Amino acid sequence: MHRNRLRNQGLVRRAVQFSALLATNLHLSGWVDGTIYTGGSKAFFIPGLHCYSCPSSILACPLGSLQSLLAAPNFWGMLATGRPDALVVLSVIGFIAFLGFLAGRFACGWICPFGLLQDLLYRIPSPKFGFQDSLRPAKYALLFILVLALPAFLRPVAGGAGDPWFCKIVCPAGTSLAGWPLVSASPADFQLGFLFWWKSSIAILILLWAVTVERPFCRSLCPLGAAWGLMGRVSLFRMRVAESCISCGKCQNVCPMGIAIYREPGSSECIRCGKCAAICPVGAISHTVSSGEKP
Amino acid sequence: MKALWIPLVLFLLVPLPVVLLSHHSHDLSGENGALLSGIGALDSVLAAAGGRPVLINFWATWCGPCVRELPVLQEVANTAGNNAVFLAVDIGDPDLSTLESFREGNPIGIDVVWLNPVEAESIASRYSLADVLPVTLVLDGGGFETSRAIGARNYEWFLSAVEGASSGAEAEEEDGFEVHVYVVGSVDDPAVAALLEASEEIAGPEGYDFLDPSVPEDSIRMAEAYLPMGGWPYAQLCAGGACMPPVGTPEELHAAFENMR
Amino acid sequence: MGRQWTANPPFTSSNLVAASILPRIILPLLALLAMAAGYYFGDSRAILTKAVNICLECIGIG
Repeated sequence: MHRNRLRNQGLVRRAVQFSALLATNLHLSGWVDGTIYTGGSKAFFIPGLHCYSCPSSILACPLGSLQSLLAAPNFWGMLATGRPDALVVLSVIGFIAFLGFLAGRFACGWICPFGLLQDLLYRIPSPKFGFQDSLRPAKYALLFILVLALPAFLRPVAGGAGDPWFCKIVCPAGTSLAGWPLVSASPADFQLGFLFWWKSSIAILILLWAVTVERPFCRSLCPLGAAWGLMGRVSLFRMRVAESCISCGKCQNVCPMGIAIYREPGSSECIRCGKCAAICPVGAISHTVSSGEKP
Repeated sequence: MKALWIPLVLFLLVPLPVVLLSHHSHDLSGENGALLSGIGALDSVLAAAGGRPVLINFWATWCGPCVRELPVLQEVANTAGNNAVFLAVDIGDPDLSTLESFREGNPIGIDVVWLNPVEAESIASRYSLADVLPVTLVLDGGGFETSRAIGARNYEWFLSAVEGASSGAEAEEEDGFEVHVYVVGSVDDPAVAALLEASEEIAGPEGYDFLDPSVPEDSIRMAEAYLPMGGWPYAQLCAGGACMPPVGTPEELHAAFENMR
Repeated sequence: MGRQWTANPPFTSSNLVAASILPRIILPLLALLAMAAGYYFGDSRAILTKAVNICLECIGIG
């Protein structure tokens, strides 16, 4: 009976993930002719990690936009004088904060295309491995160093622009879903250097890792998930574990993020996918907005 | 297993010093900048300039003065750093492979955009370019043209043009009009004789050179002058540090001369 | 004995705020306000320009 609940819940979530993927990637022709979408919707953000140079994407990546705004020449000076092209950083920060304070890492579990990709890769039959929890803090380091501090402060040339360092040296979503399709569509146009090969190798390693471990990038590396996770500790929507919990551990077994939700209902790792609620034999776990629970 | 996140983060940070250090060594070593193609790529770069002045240099691999001023442009780009955007747009080579081979032997530090003949024509009309190369345009932060140079210029001119675009002043142009024609072909080809005759009319007895590709000495001179190695017989008209595309008949040569005035 | 790593890094506890619902309503609203302010007072072309041109850094070239 609970397996059916789990299966149905999984189907609903998968349907939402695919719908979100399609709705945010309507420019399908871009994959064929190697172009990107140039319409006005790209002033708005996708609730997930998805490069705005992905040929089909019709929205902008919140992380990429944040970095490029912070990296603008004289960003801090412009912000201090209230210039509109710096003030617009509030829209990215507000977007990320809105989703995070509303429902934590909910978008990771239901909307993010790269999360969906990892979910699908894990279904490929292979030996499956556990995950070293001591890797999890890496995503906070990447958030603070590569997404925030370096783009905002590092200027190799005085008075010049900074760089979007997370996009530039790490992001596997950009490499796999933007770099590879664009380069393959027009191989003669691009000169490929060290960064391309380095990032491609990292992307391939992460994709392979995702076959053997569930959502390894989400667990260890995603700066967006890291931000949402921190906000999820105080989000309006949260997971609740009732006193009827019998500590059987089934929730941890099905959890894509490998959390013992019954011990840590407010975990900053939780992507709110609801699998735990579906599998719980006593129905102790639920989505809720109520407060006053032990975190 | 404690704190595995630390080596993981350090590993991912490896490209950071690599990228930062190569920013500097680009100035010293002869490395190629990015090679892009298409009007879309050109417009991308222009849009990414974000309020900075842009120097667009239109050139081709067969244009000696163009090729000789590329290192000068690179020096100016190094001086200006990230305060201005520099772009070398190749609008004269119908085959991308010509440009690619060229870059292998002659690294170009600034970014290069290659346009195919159709796109080149479109860009030429967008910026009202005549047939002569090089042409350098300097646009200010708002995308408006502040200076235009037809023909090669020197470091001081480029620098003051770019700085002028930042501050709104206009740079002066240099004048100079020495006509020179290169005629390339076989010595016993009547077409060559006709071209030589036209060349003498235009440039005078001292104003033209005949080069036979089958003669090693001439072939070396052709390479030094960045003349095309194929497609002869042709004549290339150059004046005041600028060159026209190679032409095949005396009529075309006269027409090119008229265009140049 | 080595440190025990749980799923949560040590600095992410937040017992205080979770107790009351008021901040958990205010925070998302404030964020929504910030987003609106960003679009209203800010120039979204700064985002659009970057998003509609191929990001060379993103794809590993620039």
